[in-house]
Amino acid sequence: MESENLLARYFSGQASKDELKLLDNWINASPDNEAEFMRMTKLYEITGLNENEKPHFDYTNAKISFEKHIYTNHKKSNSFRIFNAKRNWIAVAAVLALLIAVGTVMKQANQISEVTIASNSKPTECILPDNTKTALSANSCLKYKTDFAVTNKVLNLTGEAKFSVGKSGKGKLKIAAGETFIEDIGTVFEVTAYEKDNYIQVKVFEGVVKFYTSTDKGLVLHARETGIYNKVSKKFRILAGYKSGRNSNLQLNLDGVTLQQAVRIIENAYQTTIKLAEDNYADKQITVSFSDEQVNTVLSVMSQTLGLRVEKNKDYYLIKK
Amino acid sequence: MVVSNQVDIQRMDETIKALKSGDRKAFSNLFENFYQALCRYSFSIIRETADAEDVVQKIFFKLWDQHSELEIQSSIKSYLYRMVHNESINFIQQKTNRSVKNYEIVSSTDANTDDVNEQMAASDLQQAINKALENLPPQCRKAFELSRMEQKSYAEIAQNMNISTNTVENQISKALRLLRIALKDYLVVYVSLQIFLHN
Repeated sequence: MESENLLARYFSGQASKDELKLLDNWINASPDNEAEFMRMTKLYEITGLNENEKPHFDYTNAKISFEKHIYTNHKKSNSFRIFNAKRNWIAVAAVLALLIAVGTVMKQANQISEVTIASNSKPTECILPDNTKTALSANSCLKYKTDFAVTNKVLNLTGEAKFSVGKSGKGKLKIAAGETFIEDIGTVFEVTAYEKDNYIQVKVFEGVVKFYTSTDKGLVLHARETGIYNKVSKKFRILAGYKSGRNSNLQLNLDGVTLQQAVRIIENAYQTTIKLAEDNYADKQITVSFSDEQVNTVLSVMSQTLGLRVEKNKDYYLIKK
Repeated sequence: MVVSNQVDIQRMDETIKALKSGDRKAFSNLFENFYQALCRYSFSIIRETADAEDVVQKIFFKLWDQHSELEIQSSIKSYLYRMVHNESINFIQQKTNRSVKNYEIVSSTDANTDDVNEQMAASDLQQAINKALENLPPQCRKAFELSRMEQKSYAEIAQNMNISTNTVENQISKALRLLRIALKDYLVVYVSLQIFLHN
């Protein structure tokens, strides 16, 4: 079939399955054909739209919804091999025996000890054995065993750290912070767990994390969401979260948090930059809730509550007197 | 626009390989790069914003769910456009109540383009499209508009115009060919301008 008629049938929705296959073959036959197809596709699009039509698509929520889907729907690899050992039982047994022997010797020879990374008064960065990039805030401490990423990936955190999870080694990254655990599902996230505070907070930048204790299944947090665990009440709460579904909207429940905390949660949720004009604003306490509000409204209300105001600059918001 | 550069081909292969292996970052990038454009394309067929978004979202979900079985021999871009086109057409065909859409009716939902250059370019393009359509032979134009604007099948158009379905097909092919020639220069500029303005 001539390519012109084939394209006409395709664009008109009249092409059969066989004809669609023919079209695929024609497109795949050369870059010129593919370029022509894209030109005709663009032609088809512009002849169907009016210049005054500028439909608005909700990209932000669509992206959140898509990322929730891909980070919570693991696709296992289809391929695995069945080792046919029918002819090689003796050889297999011999290799296994050898491996066990070697493993035992190695284990006895290698004493497992603990590694400590402490930041003291200045933030520090490090890369863990599994290529996880870690940014430790000041006065924070990270500990892990020397067999980290060999059989599992467990870290102990006191203080605050941001993790960009690496893919090397075995096991899923799990952070023990106080009595809570934060488990990674392929992400970038920050954990705040200072001993002096009565809370542990997790903020997710990309991907998904599980945030729980040994007795409470806790929260599953997605990108741009923040959750908190109260060490006194033993309860989890979402500080910034998106309801699921196509029309998801942002819920902010900032209850008794400092302005500094609130600012950083809002920055992550709205993907914006907020600065405080003076450091002494940071510890002001605030309790506010918002549902599906623009960031301008959130900052305006929050600032006014504290007797401050917000100014919009080119690249950031400034909270000042 | 022609992918003839070896580096481009290599990058394309690497992208497809990453997608097939379930690289989430690659999927996120794909979504960022193509979501809005694909929604606009679907909207040009379906004429409803929410439905267009649903179609495109469905395609991306499907792409992820079946990523290990992906077989893409062309570029990922043309593959996505084909998927969205087919899904949009299916959506239209499955709708029980198809209303006639007059493409000349303004249905602006968000006219927030401040860029004067983009407005002028869009206006020039629209004038060129209108002129190109007016210059089509009458039968050709009618068949094309019934297909493109009202999403009528060849059989419906044939009945409407009292001609055979073969003639319908020939008229629509002819319309596309003539429009392609008439809008050749604008098509290139339009695409380039889009890339320039959105980068």
